[in-house]
Amino acid sequence: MGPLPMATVLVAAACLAASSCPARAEGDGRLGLVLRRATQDGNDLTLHAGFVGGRAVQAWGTTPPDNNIPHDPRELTLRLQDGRVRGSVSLNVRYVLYRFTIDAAVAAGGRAEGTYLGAYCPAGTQPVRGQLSGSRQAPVAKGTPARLQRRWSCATARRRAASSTRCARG
Amino acid sequence: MELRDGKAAGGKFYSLREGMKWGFEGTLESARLRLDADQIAGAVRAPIDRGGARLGRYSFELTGTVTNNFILGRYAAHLDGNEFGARDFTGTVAPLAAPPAGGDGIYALVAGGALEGLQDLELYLRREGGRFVGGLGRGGNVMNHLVDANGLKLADGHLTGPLLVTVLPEPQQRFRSWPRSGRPIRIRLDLDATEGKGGALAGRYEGQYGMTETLRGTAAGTLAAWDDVRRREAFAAGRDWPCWRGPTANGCGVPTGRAMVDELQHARLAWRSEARPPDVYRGFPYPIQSGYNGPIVADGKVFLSYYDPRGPVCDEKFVAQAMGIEGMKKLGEPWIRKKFAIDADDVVVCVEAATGLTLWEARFVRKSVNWGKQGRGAAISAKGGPHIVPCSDGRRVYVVGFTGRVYALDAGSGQCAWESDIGPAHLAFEKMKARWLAARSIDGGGGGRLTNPPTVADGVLVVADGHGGLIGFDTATGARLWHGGRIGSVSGPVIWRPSAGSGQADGNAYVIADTACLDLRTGGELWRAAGAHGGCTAAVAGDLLVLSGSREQGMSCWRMTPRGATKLWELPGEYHVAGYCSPLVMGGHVYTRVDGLEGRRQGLVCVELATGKVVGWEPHGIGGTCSSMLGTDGRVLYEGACYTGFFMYAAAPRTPVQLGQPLRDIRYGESTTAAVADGRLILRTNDGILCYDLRKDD
Repeated sequence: MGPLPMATVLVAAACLAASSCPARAEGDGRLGLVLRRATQDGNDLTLHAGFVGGRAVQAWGTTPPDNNIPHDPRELTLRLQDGRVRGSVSLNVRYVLYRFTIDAAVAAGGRAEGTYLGAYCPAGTQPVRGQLSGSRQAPVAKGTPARLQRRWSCATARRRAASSTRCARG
Repeated sequence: MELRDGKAAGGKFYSLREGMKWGFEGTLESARLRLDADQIAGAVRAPIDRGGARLGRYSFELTGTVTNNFILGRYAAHLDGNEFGARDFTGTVAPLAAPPAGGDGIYALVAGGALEGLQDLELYLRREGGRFVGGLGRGGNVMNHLVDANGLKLADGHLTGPLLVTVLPEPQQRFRSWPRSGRPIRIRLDLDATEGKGGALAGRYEGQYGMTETLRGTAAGTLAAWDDVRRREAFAAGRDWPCWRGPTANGCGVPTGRAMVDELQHARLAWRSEARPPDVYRGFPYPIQSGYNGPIVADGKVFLSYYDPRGPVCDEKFVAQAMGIEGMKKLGEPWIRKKFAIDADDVVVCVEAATGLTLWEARFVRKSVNWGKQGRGAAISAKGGPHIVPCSDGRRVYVVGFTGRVYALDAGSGQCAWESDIGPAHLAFEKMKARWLAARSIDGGGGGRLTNPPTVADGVLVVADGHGGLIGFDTATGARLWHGGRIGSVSGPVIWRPSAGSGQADGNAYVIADTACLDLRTGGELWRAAGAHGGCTAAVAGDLLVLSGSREQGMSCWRMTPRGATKLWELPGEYHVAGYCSPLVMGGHVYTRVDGLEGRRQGLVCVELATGKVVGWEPHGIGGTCSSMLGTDGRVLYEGACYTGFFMYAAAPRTPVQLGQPLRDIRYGESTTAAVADGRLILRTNDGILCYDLRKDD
């Protein structure tokens, strides 16, 4: 073993200095907050957030009893100060993106109560644009001559038992 | 076809796959259909005399409803007198009469690419009395998407305004946003079209696929002080998981005496770590790899080591490839350059076991190498490299870095007490890295292998040398005590202490390396299990040794003394331990995954430790996982392969029974092995470390 490289020591020490130091203080603690009917299915969402020095350093959401996997917070700006939890958190819950803005008062005993304002959109959300084409037609009336187009699925018999399914349109 | 007075006047019948070998076409022979304002019914005859379908004289009976000139119905097909199908069909009907004056009528529109930009959306809108009163849509094999056209305006032949569509999911689930949610998606399209000659419409649309909905409600809960959390979630002393394969070198956690949950869904997620080793979740399925090390638990702390790619020098050919892959390009160039950076840091993070908060992080800058893409192209999630789980003696945590450096860190502070390396293999890794950096390219392999987790006991740290041997380090000083032994490619050395009741206890600890027993103090080989095959890490249970075997020879069990080993039983080759799945010994039984031979006996097996009798076999639900079996308090745990989930089984004496559904949708660092300590499952995922409490509520 050679002498310990100084660079390593300094980096380790710097990380130590920067790391969280969980201690009992104002703005510290683990919050478990149930957001009533906060998913698009009308289920509750429980948000867990760990605060150190008023800043949320860890968070996850669960939607029991649906599942107990943690929903990944993408954005977390919750603050715990002056007896209130305020800020926003965004979560991906089963491919639906939620963003909640939370404002709750925390009583001396730790009881938290407040409101949330949320928004959600499906994971496939994206702008779309394109060409529009078509025609204005007369509505169908009895006896009106008309042009028919039909799309039938799997309308013909298979040539061989193993052949692939075919589709037809008439 | 054209329909006049209920009869078809000409028409074609053809496959959508014209020109392909199974395409076909024909001419309608006759059609007699009754078409009312809202219904259609009748029969069609169509002989098919060439093409890929079975040839013959087809006839179809159909009935359907007509809404906004759109037909939705069912048909029955007949060929040579046999009925062979009754299915749904869709269609359209366009009256040959001119559309009414004043802009009323049916607006049959196609919005090109409106479904996620992948498929067209067909719209059938009705305008009556000067306003739009209804509509429906077809697209993605779903026929009746709901359309709200109330906002559309028509003025001087110009159609403008918003169209709201509720897109229903289709069974085939072809769209990205449809498969898993299974719920309708609302889209908004702003139309701008002009009517031309004969009612033809042309224009543009612009909108949003998937709309944002708002929610409002109340929130209530509790803020618990950290001291209270620590008290509630404390890990009992003596129930650590201090190294690879756990405290007793057999995959089993120290029993808690508590009942465990009956389904993983009932396990409480106690925390998700503050630390998030390279934030790979965002990049899935193109993660930034950081190695396969699992966590360990010692003295109320969880330790994890990994590499963190960094630096300006990347493999430029992989970067260029990645920029051409849509999914990766979206992640941005900084992400891609990090993923394919050649240099890396060795990182050790210490997490408080009760809270998941970070206690310290030690980072050894540019002392590592990015294993994430070795030998692989940019397009795939390349293997993440070594498997060198750290170990701890409580006072210090010992970490093998990803180029073969060895670090001894103070468990409380993270201060590095000493640093060494594994010798020639480390130098070879450094040369390899220097060559890659100079060439800005991954140019083949080099170094040795880093797939043998270290272990520690009685002041000696045992580390694989990367070339099939072992090194003993003095834990106090880092001095090398010995170099010797032999270790296989995918196993780790484990510690054995002779049982007090066996008459063999001599106060010494021994190293089991594959099939051999070494003196921990000197590294000298004391004995080798004659004719045995090692493979994965051996499991130690008291004075019994379970070896994983090979295709020629299955699992075997040996009774150990400091002077030698006697074979107790051996199973046929079909019961050899599969891949890298080191066996679990718990409650007098061996659990492991076996590969079988020629497809036989694949799955999870349970073998009586005392006799070698196979008492249980569970063929399902266990894939070719690289992670190893775990157990605690009557529960068998393992991570399935390829993100199939984390599984839990009830232990013997009966055949292992899967308990509930696996934990799915957790992005695992595939092939890592979790830790089990004091009834808690500590799981490394691609999104940080998770702690599940497996204990039932008291």
